[in-house]
Amino acid sequence: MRNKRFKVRRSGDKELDVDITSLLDILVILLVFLLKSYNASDLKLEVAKNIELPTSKSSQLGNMAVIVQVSGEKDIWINNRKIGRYLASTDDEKIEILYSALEEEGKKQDEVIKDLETTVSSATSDKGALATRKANRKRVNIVMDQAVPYEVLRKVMHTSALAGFPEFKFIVQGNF
Amino acid sequence: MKRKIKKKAAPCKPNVIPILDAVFIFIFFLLMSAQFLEIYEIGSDAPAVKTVSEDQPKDKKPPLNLTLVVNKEEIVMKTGLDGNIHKTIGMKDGNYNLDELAQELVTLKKGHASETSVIIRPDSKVEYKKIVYIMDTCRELPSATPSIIAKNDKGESVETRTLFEQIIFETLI
Repeated sequence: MRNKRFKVRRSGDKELDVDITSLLDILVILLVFLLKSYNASDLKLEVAKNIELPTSKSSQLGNMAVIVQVSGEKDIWINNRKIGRYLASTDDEKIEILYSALEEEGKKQDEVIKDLETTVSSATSDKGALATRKANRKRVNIVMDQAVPYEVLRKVMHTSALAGFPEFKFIVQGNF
Repeated sequence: MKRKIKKKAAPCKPNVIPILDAVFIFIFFLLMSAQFLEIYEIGSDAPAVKTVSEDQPKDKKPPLNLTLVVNKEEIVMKTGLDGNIHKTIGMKDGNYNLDELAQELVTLKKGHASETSVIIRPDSKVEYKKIVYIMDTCRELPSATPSIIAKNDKGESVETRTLFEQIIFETLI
């Protein structure tokens, strides 16, 4: 009895023909959207809490370097690590917590460059990586909330320059 | 006489599976590398100090030394080594009149095609976003403005869309 039933079912089997046209449409739309939003920059940025970037007409892509972020509440981050808060009461142009953190970061980068110099092979890609590291050694990406007054920016730039990062790159949001 | 009716051949279906595989891999790669916030940068270097010997030949043309003093209510444009006031740009609808600033910068660029730097000296209380707008105005011509054709220091005619792209903050020590 059972076998009979199965036999009937098998005889009714046909090759399943799935219509994938709509799926393909979605995929093509997704592909176009993703291709449009793709950029070749090596800068990977996680914007910290309470930071609204200013808009700019600039179309220059960012490069990977030390990232200093200052939020609307004046909290300071270095490479996504919160190091403290800027105190407005101090008259000193140098922000001590930022200076020590940047100095530490500079030392780390110097060590990496030294290691790369000793281990680098003749491969062009290794040489390229070393050259990029060296070129970005003095660079600092400044990510700051748009409402922060210039006083804070000035002190951040001053501190960065003192800690060995005199090339400032202001990270902005595209607007064109 | 009977005509033979030819049976229509079944439509040929292309095998799209390999294409689909490739598209899926491509989408995965793009999703991993996508950055949905369009991020760009504006560059500025700390001012460098250079010692100039007296034997060095003097410039034929005096330097422009363009300085923008950004106060809370106006932008004062200063030029020359003595810092003479060139023009004061006021406010328009609560913001700096950047159109007027752009016009003045274009006029200055036409007379000094080789000059690329501008010194910005903002007041401590000026918001960061306003400084960014001023930097934008200093760097490039507005999209509606035609390119500038001017003579450089060598007497050659040059066409450019950049104004004063090298931005220096004066208050930095």
